[in-house]
Parts: sequence; C-alpha cells; structure tokens
Amino acid sequence: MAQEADISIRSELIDRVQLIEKINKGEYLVIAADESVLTDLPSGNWIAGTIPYFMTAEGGTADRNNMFVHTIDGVQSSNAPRITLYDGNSISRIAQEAPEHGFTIVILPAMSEIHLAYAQNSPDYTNMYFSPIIGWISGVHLDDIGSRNAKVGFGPARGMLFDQQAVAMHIPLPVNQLANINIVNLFTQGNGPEIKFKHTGFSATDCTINGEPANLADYIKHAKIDTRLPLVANYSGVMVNVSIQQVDEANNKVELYAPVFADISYRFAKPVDNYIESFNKELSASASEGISFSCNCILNYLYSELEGKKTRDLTGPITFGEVAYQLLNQTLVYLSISGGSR
Amino acid sequence: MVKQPKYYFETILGINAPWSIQDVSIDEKNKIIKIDIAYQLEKSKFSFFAKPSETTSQKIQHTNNVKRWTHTRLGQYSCQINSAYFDPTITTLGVSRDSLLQPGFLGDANRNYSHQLRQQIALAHTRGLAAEAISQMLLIEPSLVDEVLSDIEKTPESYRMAIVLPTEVDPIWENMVHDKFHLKTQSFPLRLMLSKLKLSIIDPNTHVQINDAVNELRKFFIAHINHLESEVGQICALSNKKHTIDERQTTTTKLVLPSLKNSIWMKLVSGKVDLKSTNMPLNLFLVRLRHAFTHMDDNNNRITALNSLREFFRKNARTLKKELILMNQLMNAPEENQFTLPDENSGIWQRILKDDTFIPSSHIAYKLLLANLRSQLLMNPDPVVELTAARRVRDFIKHNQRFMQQELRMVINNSHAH
Repeated sequence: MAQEADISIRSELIDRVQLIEKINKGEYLVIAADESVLTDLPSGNWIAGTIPYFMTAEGGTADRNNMFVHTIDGVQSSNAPRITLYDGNSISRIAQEAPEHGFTIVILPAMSEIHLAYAQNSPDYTNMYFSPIIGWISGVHLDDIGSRNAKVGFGPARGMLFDQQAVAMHIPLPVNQLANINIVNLFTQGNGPEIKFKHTGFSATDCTINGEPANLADYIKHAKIDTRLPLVANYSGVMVNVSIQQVDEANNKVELYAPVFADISYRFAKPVDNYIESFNKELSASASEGISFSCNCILNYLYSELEGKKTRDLTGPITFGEVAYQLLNQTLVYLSISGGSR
Repeated sequence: MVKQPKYYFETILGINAPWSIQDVSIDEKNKIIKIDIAYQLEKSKFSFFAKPSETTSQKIQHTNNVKRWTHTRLGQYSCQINSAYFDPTITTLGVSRDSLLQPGFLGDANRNYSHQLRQQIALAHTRGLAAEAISQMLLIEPSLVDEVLSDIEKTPESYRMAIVLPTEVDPIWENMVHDKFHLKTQSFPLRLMLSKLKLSIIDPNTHVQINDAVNELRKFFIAHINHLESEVGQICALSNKKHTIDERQTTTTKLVLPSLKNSIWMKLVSGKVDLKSTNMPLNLFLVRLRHAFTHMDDNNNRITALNSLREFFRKNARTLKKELILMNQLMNAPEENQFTLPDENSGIWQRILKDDTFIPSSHIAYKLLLANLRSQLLMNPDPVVELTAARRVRDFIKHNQRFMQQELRMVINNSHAH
C-alpha cells in the first residue's frame, strides 16, 4: 500500500530523558550514544549503535551523556518501517529485505564477526546496489578501546544490546520521494606504486608492488608511508578507502579497518591539506541541501582535528566505519531524500 | 565434433539453457524461418548471482497452446518463434515489468511479437521514426508496429523507458562488463555494481558467467530506469544532439534554495548583499521586509520574516533565476571578513595571553596555540616576543573566524575596554 505523507528525517542531540519520551511516543528513531546511556532503554521503534562522537551544529564533539538521534517523520502505520536484527547467517539477506521503494539504515558493531562478514561479502549480496543501504559501524570511546566492545541496540526487544548482531531499519518511501546515497571521499589515489593483494582480508602481508612481490609492512616502513593515509582503490570512478589500523613489524603484517580485496589495484592516498576547506569544495551547496542523514569516520575526526569544526550543515555520528551499500573507511556518507509533495 | 545447425541458430538468437531449439524449418518460398523452442522445466544450475530469470523462469509453464511470436528478421527472412512454453500469467495491458526481464526471443502470452522486436520498434520510435518508416525499416506489417506502439503507450510511466533497453543479447551489455564500453554515470550504486561485475568476470574463483552478469546489470537498469536517463541514452546511442543536451543538463549546477539557517537571508534583509534585481515584486517585498525587520525585537518574529523571504523565493523561483544564481555563487564563495579585529597592539591580546579564562574556547588547536605562546612568554617575557604572540593569536582567530564566531564576538565586544 502506498504511503501518503512524505518521509523526512530530522536530527538532534538530546538527553536520555528526552529520548525516553520520544521512544514512549512510538517514534521511529536511529540513535547514536555511549553505551552507558543506551542501557535499559524502554522497548520501542528504534535501533541504536554505541559511539560517543558526533558532528553537531556546533562542530565535532565527544559526548558521553547525550545521544544523537535521527527521527523518521511522516511514518504511516499502514506501511511502517521494519526493524530487523541480523546475525552472521542472515545479514546476506539485507538487500533482499530492503523495501521495494525506500531505503535501509544499518548499524553493525565494530570488529564483530558480522562486521567482518559484511565488509568482505556485502558487494555480492543478492540485490546489493538495488536499494539504498546506508549506515555505520558502531564503536566506543577511544579511552575504552580494549575494555569495551562496540554494540548495537534493538529497540523492539526491550532495548537489548548486542555485540555480534547488526540492526537495520527498512524504511518505505511514498512513490513521489526518492532516496539517494552518495559519499564525500577527499582521498584520491596518490602517485605511488600500484599495490595488489592475492587474498581478500582485514590483514595484509604479501602483496605485489608494481607487479613485484613484496611485503606491505616492509614497504610502509621503508617508504616511510604516513599511515594516516589510506589505501585507495578506484571502483569505476568511486574512490574506496582502506584505512591502516596497525603495522605489526614483528610479524610483517598490516592490520586494516576494512578488507582489501584480491586483485584490486590500490595506491596510497594523496595527502589532504585542509580537511574543512577541501570538504567545502567537494560538497557543493547543491548537494548539502536535502541531506537527511550522514555519518563521518572517526579517523577523519582525529587526523583532521574536527573537534569544534563543522562540516557545513552535515551532522551525525562519527563512526568506526561507514556503510554506503558496502563498507567504507575515512569517508563521509550521506543520504538525501528528494521529491515530496508541495 | 560437427555442430548441428540448431546450435548455430541458438548462438545467433541468444537462446541458452534452459531454453533450446527443438526444430528449425525454412520456408524458402515465403522467406520465413520457423523456430520451435523448448524449455527444460527443472531448477536452473547454481549461479553466483541470483538470476533475474530465477523468479521469472518459475512462471514458465508448458501449455497446450503453441504461441507464435514474430521475431526480428534474420537477413532476408522473417523469423517466427514458436513455443508451448511461456508465462501464461502475463496478460496485462501494456508491457509488464516481468516481460522486460524475460529473454528477448520470447513474447507475452497475449501478444504476437517477441520482446526483442518490441524493443527495436520502441527504440526506433524514440529516435523519432514514424510508424510507417519503422514498418519499412524492419520489414514488418504496419499493423504490428501500431500494436506495439499502442502497448507502449499503455505501459506505466514508472518503467516505460525500460522498453527501449537492448535485450540481453545486445553486445553493449557484455562490452560494459568487459570494460570495452565506458559508461559515464554519476550513479553511485551503478558504479559499485559495474565494478563488482567487471571484477567477478575476471576472477577465476567466482565462476560467474557473462550471461549472469549481463542479466544482473540489465535488471539493475530496469529497476532504476527513471533515474538513468543519461545512461540509457548512451547505451541506446540516442541522437547525439539529445545526448549532448542531456549531458549539458546533467552537468549544469543545480540551483539551490538556501536553507533557512543560511546567512544569505539575513544579508539580503539587512542590505549587506544587494542582488541588483530588476524583479519588481521582490524589490517591493524586500523594502517592506527590511522596514518591518528593523522594528522586530523578538527572535521568533525575525525567523518568521526570514522564512517568508525564503518562501517568496521558493514560490517565484522561475522568475528569480538570475537572483538565485547569484545567491548560489555568493553561498559558495568564501565568507568575507565580517569583523575588524583589534590591532595587534591592543591590550586585549595580552589579556588573552595572560588570562586563560578571559575568552574561553573549546577549540583544541586554539588552546594548544595559546599554551605554546604562553610558555614562550614565560621563558622570555620580551616585548618583541609579546607582540609576536599577540600577532599570532590575532591571525589565528582571523583565519578561523568562521569556526570561532563566539570567541570573535567576545574579542570585539571586549576590545573597547582596551
């Protein structure tokens, strides 16, 4: 049955009391917050991910007490969004279960098996790219790394938090509206050598560099590569980053925040001098109008010192990875909803 | 091994398993080739991709009727496809979405022409050919052309354009997947999909057949047809002039109505920005608004006034194009310095350097700078060092004023006392 009212998304930074009020009103919500304020929330129509970093209207901030909430307005009870919990076996159905006309918001916990599965396999999921899927990888405060796991929250089930499952909200749109996903990736392939890997995975050892057998960790060390720069692959004109997590010199291994795929050509990125200036040039005024949802990477937040700085009107969680159909790193992803009745 | 003639016809017509040719008969007198096809009614082999025909093939049934469809010509011969296997449920007015996903050599249960012939007629029609010319070009009956065009007219607009998409046998699809044809597209999901398909074809581990990749790509186009006009134009080689116009349109920057939060509205009302507009109603409206604005104390009223200006632009966008272009240019230009900072000799900078509670800030870089300068001053409280430090603080705030509006205002407000 077709929707009648237009769907829109509004975002705000609110406290727990305000959030509970919204949940009790039955609003459809996508929540980003520190785990300490996500526990014991009432059941409702919401999904959540743990993260205490946000880009707000006042600039980037770390906030353990408040929550960044996206509210889906215009929902009709006859065609309401579906909230789904996925595990490692069922996540492959996410694109098949997306609405015929609409979009999906998904949150996955960082470094979980389901995160790894999604990262490696999502391009091949049935119907992937057919329906817009946007989302993010939940994380933790940097001080809690090692002592806490990233989690997601599933509202319908008494607000339980999971660290091995993903949550998704499939949101149908009226026929006159259209959801569109795009990215802002300031990184482009640099002029360094072409790097290829034999195996797909989150860690890289042996590779070829300009066709010659080599080891990535060795190359990074000897070429003095700035590991704040990601590896960049060119996917038919879409620049996709793979960020460096750690170089394990003892084992000649490089740990990554996303998988490298076998036989794809990578190069280390060109440095970006001024993130905010480059960002403003990249995201024209036309694109920023009508953006309903966005999230940016924690690595951009840290390396480009985005605390206190703004990325135009774009607000949202600062995350441990981004989803624009497939997993991305060091990228801002955004969803715009166009059309709508006048 | 000597290949049977049926094999060659299967190759020419793009008939692949689970379809096959049962018989070929050639009527030389009337120049007709009749091809009888059959369908293997069992589960299709596992494929890396979900074949679009997996759902459509489940609807293929063996019936007691043999349908005959006029197909595209083979040389000087007209071609008829005969089959007792088809989807009997497709009886819609117009072209159904399901039939767009079927192989081109098939037709609908209630039609006398194949999907491929329909596509050829649709494409010729889109290129501006009259029905009579299409009939002569394709050497088919004018009544058949009329029937196809009528069916196209009755097809829902939501996917009507998909009718012109080449069928799966057209080499354009393979050429895209093999990277021999470079499709220009701004569609993010299409780029990702193309990339995936190109890689899957060359990856020996995935065993992806080119047919599967083509079907997947074609299915994507059909699903998003109304948002891929430029891409369809490229694939169908629609007239250069039209394509150029389309390209120009897609590369033209879209005019944007700034959001209410954008400072351009305030600048317009306050007169800081002059659009030099010749639009009389706009100028009259602005005069009225400016007058009312100066007498408004309440912030809510001011916001309402700004919103009314924005609404005026929205409703009259067509007549205010020139003004909107200028506004968009101004929005994209770097912000001019709105404020004049106190001179570096002003005591306010020394106070900032000495008192870290004076102008509180949450900006990490600014706080680090102040800490650095303060430690320099502690080590060497020289007037020259003091002046250099003041200059650096001033330059920092000036350079970052867009992100330090609060600090900037505090500096200016307090500068009078120094």
